[in-house]
Parts: sequence; structure tokens; C-alpha cells
Amino acid sequence: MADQPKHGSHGGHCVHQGNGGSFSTNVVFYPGRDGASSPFGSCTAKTLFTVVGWATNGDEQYDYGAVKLNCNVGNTTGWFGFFWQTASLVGLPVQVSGYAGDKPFGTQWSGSGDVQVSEVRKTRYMIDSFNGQSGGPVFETDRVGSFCGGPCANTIHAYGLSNARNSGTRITQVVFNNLIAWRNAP
Amino acid sequence: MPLKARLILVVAVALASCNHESFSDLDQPVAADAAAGSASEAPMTRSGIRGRVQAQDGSPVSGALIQAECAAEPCQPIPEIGIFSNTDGVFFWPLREGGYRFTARKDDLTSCPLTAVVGPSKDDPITLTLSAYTTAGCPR
Repeated sequence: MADQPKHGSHGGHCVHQGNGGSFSTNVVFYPGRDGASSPFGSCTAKTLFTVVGWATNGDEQYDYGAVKLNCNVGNTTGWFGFFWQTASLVGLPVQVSGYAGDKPFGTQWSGSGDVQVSEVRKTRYMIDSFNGQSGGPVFETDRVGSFCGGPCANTIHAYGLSNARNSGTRITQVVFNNLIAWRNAP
Repeated sequence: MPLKARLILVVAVALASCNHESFSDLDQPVAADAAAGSASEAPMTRSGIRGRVQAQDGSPVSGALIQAECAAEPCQPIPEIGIFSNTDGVFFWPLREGGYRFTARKDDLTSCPLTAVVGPSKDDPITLTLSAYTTAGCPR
């Protein structure tokens, strides 16, 4: 999920193995990729971020991270907003978008539905997803609000569960603050 | 701790101190210079599946996409990361203990589904062999 010209938010397991493992290597972005076509080229990573709860503990509740890019491609593609609220997100209509591994390689897909479970650090939804969609946004397509207008994410998609709700890491106030700090990092 | 990480930590803590929500130690940021890289060997304490993707002649296949599905109740949440085999055809996918069905594919080739159990100890690696299989041609 691109959220600034040089920044993307992600599931922690996209940038780090978690539970004492190591950071990912050879991270390359292909914004707007469509099969063999990369209309905006590619971009390497400058800095990878996650938190102790994921990197050291491998705790699903803390499975989030970010990548600082080596380019300003977001100025061309645009980017997502993101927001937090303490109130429940149940019933909020959202989309989940990403590069599903069960579809033709390198193609982006999305599904829509409502947030069904709103936990302190997670949201859960019956929206189809597949391996490869981690780090994608769970977002309102056209939010109207003072903090975030247009496409606005409230969750970073992370986990699939057969015959049950898929889930992601909710953008809480603390998560939001970390994402802002990482976005503003040099 | 690198200066950059220290600065980020200070900023994050300062922001959190202004808020009602407490800043958990588990939300402390960690960062890495992407250019520096780091060892990709999976930690021994982490449960998951190790495997190798090969062609029919046994040669390693790099860049194959691995897929995992639940194969036994209770199903566990699966991190929906795209896992690819490395230059040696090898992959590791951190997964919770449980039963899964794995496949690999690259271009027009795919493997038959292989069911394996991820256990608490270091399990034997699985081997996924790519071919022009159809589902009907795979052993049940």
C-alpha cells in the first residue's frame, strides 16, 4: 500500500520473518504491475521498518511494517490515505486489494465486503484473498472525513483462514504514529 | 542501535506520549538498511515448512511461487505472503503448526498438491516437482 511518494505500508511479515528472524532482502516494488507490464517501472527499497512485537515475538497482533523507497514514484501513481479510530469498525464497507497468487502472475485483484469483527489490533472480514495479498490495504474507497478523504485504509491485510474470516492488522493510533514516523524518516 | 533507528524510536515515543493509548514496548520500531541486506536463513525456533522446487529431471527451479492451503482442522491463519523459491530452488515459509497442502507453480508448470504437517520440531523438507500436470493427473 503506497501512502506517500517514497513510502509503502506493509504487513510485518512482508519485510521481516518475525520471531527472531531476519529482514527481507532484494525488496523491489513494481507499482501498478499488470502481468508482464510494469507501467511505472520498478523501485528498490531504502529502509525496512517493523516493530519488536513482530521482529522479536512474531506476534500476529503486531504484524505490520513499512518500506522507504529509493524513488518518488508516488508522485506519479498517487497514494492511499490511512486513519485510525477507537470506535468499532464493524459494518464499515471496505475493499481488499492485492496480487493474489492464485490468479495470473502479476495481476492485481480486489474484493469488497464489510468489516465483521473489530478488535483492538485486528479487523476480520469475509472478503476473498490469497497468498501474495499481504501488505495490501483494507480500505474505504471514498471516505468522507476530516482526517482522510478518498481511498483510506484502516487495516493492513495479513492473514487468510480457510472457511472463516480473513484478517489484517488494524491501524490503531500507535500504529498510525509509527507509520507517520517511518514516512517522515530520511 | 543505529542513529536512524534511535531517532525513529524517539519520535514514535514522543508522539505516543501525547496520546491516550499507551505505547507498548512491542510497538517499538526496528529498522534495517535495505541495501545492507541480512541473513535470510530462517530462525530455528520458528515453525514452518522448508522445501525445494525441482524440475522433472531433479534440477532446482528458482522463482517458483509456493502456495499453501489448510488441509486439516483446526485451520490456522496463513500469512498471505508470496513465497518464491531461491536460486537453489529452496524456500521456507513460517507457518503455525498444523496440516497444509502445498503446491508450486512457475509459468505454465505446476506441481501436484503435497500435504504436510508443520510440527514443533525441524521437519524434513518437502519436494515439489514441476510438470505440465493437470489436477486429474495427480495422485489422490
